[in-house]
Amino acid sequence: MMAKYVIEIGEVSKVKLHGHIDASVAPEIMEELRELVGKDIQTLVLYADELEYIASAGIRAIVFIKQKLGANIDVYLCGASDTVIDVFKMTGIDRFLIIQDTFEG
Amino acid sequence: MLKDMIFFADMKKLPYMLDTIMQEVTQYVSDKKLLNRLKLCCEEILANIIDYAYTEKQGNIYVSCEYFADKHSLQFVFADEGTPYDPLAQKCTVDLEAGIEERPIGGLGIFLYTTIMDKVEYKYMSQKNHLILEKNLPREVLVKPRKKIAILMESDFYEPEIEYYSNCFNDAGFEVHFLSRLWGNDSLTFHGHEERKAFQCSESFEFIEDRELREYAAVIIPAGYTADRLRYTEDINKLPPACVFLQRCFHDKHMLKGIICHGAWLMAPIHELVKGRKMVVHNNLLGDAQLMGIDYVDEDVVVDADLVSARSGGEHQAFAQKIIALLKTEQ
Repeated sequence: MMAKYVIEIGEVSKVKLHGHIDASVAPEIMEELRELVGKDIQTLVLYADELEYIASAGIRAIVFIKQKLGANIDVYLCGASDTVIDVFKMTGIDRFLIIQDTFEG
Repeated sequence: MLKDMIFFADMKKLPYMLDTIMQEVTQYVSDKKLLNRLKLCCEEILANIIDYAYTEKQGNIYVSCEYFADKHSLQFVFADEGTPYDPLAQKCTVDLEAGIEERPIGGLGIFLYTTIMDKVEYKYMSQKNHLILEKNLPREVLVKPRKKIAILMESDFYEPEIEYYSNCFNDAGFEVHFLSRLWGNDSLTFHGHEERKAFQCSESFEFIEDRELREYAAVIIPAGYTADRLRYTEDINKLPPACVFLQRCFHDKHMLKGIICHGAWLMAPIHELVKGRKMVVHNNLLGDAQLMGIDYVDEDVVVDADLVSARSGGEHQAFAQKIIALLKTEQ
């Protein structure tokens, strides 16, 4: 199956979040993120420049993967709009992410 | 204005439900961040109902969204016929300071809508779960009140009527826009029916975007031959552009539609929009009204929700004043 969200699995793994991530599509993302569990990952980059909307179901998927990958890995959230960042802040998840415009590395 | 929506509880329909509800919310709220937050609340509640209310059988979700101008608050009601369940009974605080390891996976949705909303209440009544939510809306997040009035124009208009509209709506604080089909011209000069008075029209209804359409409080199809001229189409397989414009206006329940005298002619190609609606038309159009399925009412001015009609051009003052009065109460 072609991945819709995960674009690279490796030491630096990359996920492209896009469109509307609501409760109706979050299970798809969750499914793809499960692929990352148990892999040797140091950094997870979430590209969000094309993410229009994220609901708690999407946030849950991110909390899930962060918990599974362990506290020591860095999770970047890149290019998210103000309204998307607002949701991460309201749920207090922003503290576990490195929020910036772009990822270089 | 109250708007009731009924959806079949199916996760695949979630984006459609949200779009429909948010279309209603954008009638009142313009602030992007707040719109996103309200959408989030609606989604959490809908997703919960879909996931948990109907596990045994399939069912509906009933949603209403109402703005109370006196309290400056927006109220949402979500109802379902599932097993009685109070989502607020469980503790819904989320420790924002907790480390990621301690963050529970569940409960975020309820946390979000109880945090975002100013009031959340659960009631079980009439065999339905009701979740009632209120959000206070400060002035700066509100959509500006609609200020424009569209009046369709063409030649053979009724001069006293058009002159009256030019003034009376302005006096009442509205902005009058005479719209026509301009055939690629910057402006066209039309002439009145009685005295051949010239009227220069320089705005077209053909290129009005949705955002701009929402600035219109009312659209009026005036008396005279305007309606007949505007229902011309050069392509018999296409609706006249004026009818396409009116379809969009009728779709917007927050815009008043005014039809006076022979104006109802223009509804013939799109008569499904007036079918079953209470209206008065010019006596000459009684047969047309019958064919269109209009529920004819024998009064000079008739109001049916967002549709106001008047018998003949002579009634233009009472007609315009009725529209102004309705718009004032709406605001």
